[in-house]
Amino acid sequence: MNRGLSLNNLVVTGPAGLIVTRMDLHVEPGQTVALVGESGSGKSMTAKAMTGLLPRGVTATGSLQLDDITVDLALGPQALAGLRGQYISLLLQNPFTSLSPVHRCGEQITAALPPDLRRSKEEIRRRLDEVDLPERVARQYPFELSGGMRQRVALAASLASNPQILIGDEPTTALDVTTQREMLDLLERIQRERDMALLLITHDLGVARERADKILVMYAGRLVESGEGADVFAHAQHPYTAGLRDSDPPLEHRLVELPAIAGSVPRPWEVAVGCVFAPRCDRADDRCRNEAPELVGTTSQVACWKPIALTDASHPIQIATDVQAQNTDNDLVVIRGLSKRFSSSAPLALDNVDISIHSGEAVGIVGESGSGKTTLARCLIGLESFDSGDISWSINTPMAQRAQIVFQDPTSALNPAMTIGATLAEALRAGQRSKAEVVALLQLVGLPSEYINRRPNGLSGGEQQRVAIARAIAPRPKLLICDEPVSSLDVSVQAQILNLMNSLLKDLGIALLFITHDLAVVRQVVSRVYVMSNGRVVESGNMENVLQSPQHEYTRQLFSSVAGK
Amino acid sequence: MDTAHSHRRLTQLLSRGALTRFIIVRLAATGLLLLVLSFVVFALLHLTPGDPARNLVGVRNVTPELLQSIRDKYHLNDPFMNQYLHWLGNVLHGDFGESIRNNTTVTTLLADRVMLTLQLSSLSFALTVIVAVPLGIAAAWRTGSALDRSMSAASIVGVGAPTYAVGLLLLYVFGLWFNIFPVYGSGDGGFDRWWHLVLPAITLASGLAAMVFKLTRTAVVAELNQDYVAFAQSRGLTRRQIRSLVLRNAMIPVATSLGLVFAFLFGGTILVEVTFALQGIGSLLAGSVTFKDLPVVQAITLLTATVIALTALAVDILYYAVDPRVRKRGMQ
Amino acid sequence: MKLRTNRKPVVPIVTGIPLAIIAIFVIASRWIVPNATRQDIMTGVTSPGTAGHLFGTDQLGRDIGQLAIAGASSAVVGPIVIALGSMMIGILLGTFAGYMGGWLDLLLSKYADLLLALPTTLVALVVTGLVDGGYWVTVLVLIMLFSPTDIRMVRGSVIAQTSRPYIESAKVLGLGRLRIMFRHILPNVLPVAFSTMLLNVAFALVSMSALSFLGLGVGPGVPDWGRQLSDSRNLLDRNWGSLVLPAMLIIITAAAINLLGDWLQERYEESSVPR
Ligand SMILES: Nc1ncnc2c1ncn2[C@@H]1O[C@H](COP(=O)(O)OP(=O)(O)O)[C@@H](O)[C@H]1O
Ligand code: SF4
Ligand SMILES: [Mg+2]
Repeated sequence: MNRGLSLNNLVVTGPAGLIVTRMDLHVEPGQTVALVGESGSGKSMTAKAMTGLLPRGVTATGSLQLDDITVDLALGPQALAGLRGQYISLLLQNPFTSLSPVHRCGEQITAALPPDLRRSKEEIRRRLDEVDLPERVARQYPFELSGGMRQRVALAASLASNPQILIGDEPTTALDVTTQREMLDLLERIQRERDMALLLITHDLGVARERADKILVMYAGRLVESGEGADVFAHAQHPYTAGLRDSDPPLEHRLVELPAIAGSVPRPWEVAVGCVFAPRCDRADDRCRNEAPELVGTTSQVACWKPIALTDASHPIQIATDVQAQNTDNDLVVIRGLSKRFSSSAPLALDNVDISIHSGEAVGIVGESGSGKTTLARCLIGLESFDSGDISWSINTPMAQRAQIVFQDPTSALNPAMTIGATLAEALRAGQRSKAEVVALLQLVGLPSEYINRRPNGLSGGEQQRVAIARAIAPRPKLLICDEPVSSLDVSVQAQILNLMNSLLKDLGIALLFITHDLAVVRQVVSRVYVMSNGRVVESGNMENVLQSPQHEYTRQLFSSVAGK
Repeated sequence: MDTAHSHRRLTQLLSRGALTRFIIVRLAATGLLLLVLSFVVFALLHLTPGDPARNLVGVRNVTPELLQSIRDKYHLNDPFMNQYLHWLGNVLHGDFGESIRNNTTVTTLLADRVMLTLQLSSLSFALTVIVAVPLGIAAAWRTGSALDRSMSAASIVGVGAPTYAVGLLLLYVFGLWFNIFPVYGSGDGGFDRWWHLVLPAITLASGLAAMVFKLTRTAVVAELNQDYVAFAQSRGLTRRQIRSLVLRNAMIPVATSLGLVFAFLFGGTILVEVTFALQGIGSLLAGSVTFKDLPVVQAITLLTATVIALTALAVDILYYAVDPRVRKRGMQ
Repeated sequence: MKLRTNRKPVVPIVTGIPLAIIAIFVIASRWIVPNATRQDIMTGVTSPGTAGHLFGTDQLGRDIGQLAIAGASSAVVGPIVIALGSMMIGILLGTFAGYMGGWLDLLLSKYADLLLALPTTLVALVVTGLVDGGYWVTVLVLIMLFSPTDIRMVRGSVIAQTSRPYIESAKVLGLGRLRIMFRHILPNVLPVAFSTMLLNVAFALVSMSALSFLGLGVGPGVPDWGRQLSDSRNLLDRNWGSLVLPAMLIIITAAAINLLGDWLQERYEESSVPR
């Protein structure tokens, strides 16, 4: 009899201390359970503990129950070896690394089958067909396929032994928005057809809300809340869940200020006593700080001493009207007919692009990865040459005072060998400003002045990105270019950075070119938007208009794939 | 079925054409490298301090007639480029001139010696591969185990230990102390020859094995940390299947590094042959250098460079054969 | 992901002690063993343990132990100069080649290809042998032979840094090339360069002593480990100390430096893994 899977009292311990604390979960056949939380909250470690794949130096206790089998996790990874594949299987995030690069896809899909079926053409075709892939894929190597196709191959491989439960650890995070949706649809279909249990691990609240029957919220290694589907967010009882929900930018409207959670996620083992969320919780009191709340409840559970009651009025959310595009008299920079090809065999990276940015205006560029957004930004700032077209600036200052740029990855944005103070002082000097402004600059981006003597290594991702922003505005450029500035940050930190950007724009009166794949994020910042696809601008206009009545087919596709997650 | 078949046939043909093109390009590059090297090697004659003709006379009585005949024979009065081309022409016909020390042609001298060096190199190469590769794999498979730690420590000593010091120590312990192995010399052919080569080969292999062990271990550890291994485990693949998956991937860097090791092998033979008084190419080179027997030095240098260049070429082709990603790039 | 555990610094201690002793020999040998090269033909070869000669004497009656202490400086000083010199060339040329590319890069990579086409031992033997140079000529030749790998190493790390966002930001700020190369990139390359340099010292030590084993490099009569080993071949049956002492000194010194270099490299790699 198939009664699904239960995980009881899981505790994962690493070399530094507890990584996951007393975790229970249950998935039924045909059911989708989502495990959500910010990075480092212990989602992946939970998945690895359930499959006996914990890294060296990390151990687990607790038990796993599947049908009539009960496995004591303390017995080590070998105890689970017999269950892997046939009972439980794991699909990983990155399709580029989860397949062996030198083996053909067909071989990898069927490796887990009994030997007599491994070479069966019929079987391979059936398996490929299930994940909507053509037969030829069997003979191809992973590097010959697109990311979406690779992830389908990986899915077929993880289903080879017909598991009763599939764990997907961020299975769509590495994919483009439109591909993401297809992949989720496919997962849903297969799950239904096979009556399989699915444990979907994701940091994306939208995905969880749309796809899950049950949602579990993790924070710093603890389960803080769980409940039925979308209810968990709609009627969040735990302040963290509510905070997470509120700081996720909405697509439907622009907020005056995103409700962000102050601070950043602690390491699970850094929390000694009391509620894990207490340092960031505005409801915290003495009991919260001294005594850890237990997870209580029946259909919905919450670990909080003072949960938000259904009757509590949630924060009134202030909705801003979208800023209207300004008139076109005061162009700061105009790009005309810009084209660029990286190599003769590659398609055009930029194809006759026209874009203008007015002084003090916030402009967005949206598009999927590979659509040419970054190339455009790099051409604009002079990091890349272009083949034809022109870029004309209405100001005559040195380049450093015209435009500056903030990149996506905060960990490599700062020179690890220089202190924050030295980095900022250098940027100020480049803009002919006084070194004395360093402290003011730090304040402007919300960092304490002690950070002058720190090095980037000791800072969290959000703090590093604040420094990167400070460096970019130090020479007082007329245009700030941000290339996916919040894409590698957690939702709660993302909200902080978006708020910071909005306030900087207002205070400094500079123009912004905001590049992102995320429509909801760009909505919160810009007034005008360009949509790019395959190196071309396919649509442009006021943010509001574009969202309300997208003209171009591609925009509609992009829009629906976000909305329908 | 029919179209699928012809499609397959076509890609095969295409990739075979690509392989030919790849080999031709690499051959041309190798040829060019050797040409430049030959020029440098020839220039050695003129870079060596002193009058080239006198250097070529050696210890014979220097008479003006002898000098003149040497100058004529080696075209030393011609312009430099002509001298070089002349020399190169001879070299391409297998004629490296005459040894100054021994009164024979360089070619005969080499022919006498080359066998021993080949035997020594292949024996130590085989020893290296047989010992170091499996140990490297085993250590990587159990990182942190006693085996891993002791082998890693030994490899650090082995990599740094100078060949001749190890050789002398082995010679002392096994040759003089225990009297198991012959101490000096090359033996009289057949089994005796191989018996004489055991200690030298072990000596040469010790340093190489340390290096190959480290490279293999690093390569396998790197593969074991890849996502695809965790993914394979999570799908329930057997240990055996996972091992073959990992080894197939690790084989690529290991095979490449074995090619590199070959270059070290040739440097090492010089010292080992001198240490054990073996009559091979290496000891011939050492002796010829001290004696300033230039034609011999030139011949051996060029020969070594050729062997190494051809090995590099073979490694590249092997790379092409085992890594589909390289194949793909090669086709474009 | 690698785990960072609180390891005790075993490696620096284990390697530090022998290296410190060698360093003392190098600096103070003229006071510790002022008469190391004094010959005593009457004594001739004696075996280890002979009164007053812990490791015995060689055929000239020189004390093996004293000779080995005096030999430390020729064994170590040259290799340090070689490693430093070749890394200086490596840093200078490698940084320019890596950051600027162009003809300099092409030229340097061809030069490296050429030198790497032959084993170092062979080229060192041929060149030093033919030019009849002494110790410092050998050092110079080895610097030339070591520099291509250092140039490659530095060039590689410079290129790896150049594509990082912080370097792009520096360019966007309009900073000069020299400032970007030497203030931004170089400090991030130095840790790797330093551990590579240590490994080079060990390799140079082995190469130099190999050359003097073959009778090149150090002048006759100068105390030197490689020379001692070469001499020991004729003494094996009468004094094993003449072999074992210098052999162990070379092996231990080289292994200690290698171990330290490896350790530093690993530590650096671990610390550069993002949190
Ligand atoms: N190999 C490891 N060894 C020790 N700790 C680890 C390891 N990998 C991750 N961690 C730690 O475990 C915690 C949970 O990580 P993870 O499960 O990956 O979180 P999530 O998947 O929710 O982002 C983090 O604090 C992380 O630093
Ligand atoms: S227990 Fe207290 S601190 Fe923790 S979430 Fe609830 S109210 Fe906040
Ligand atoms: Mg994760």
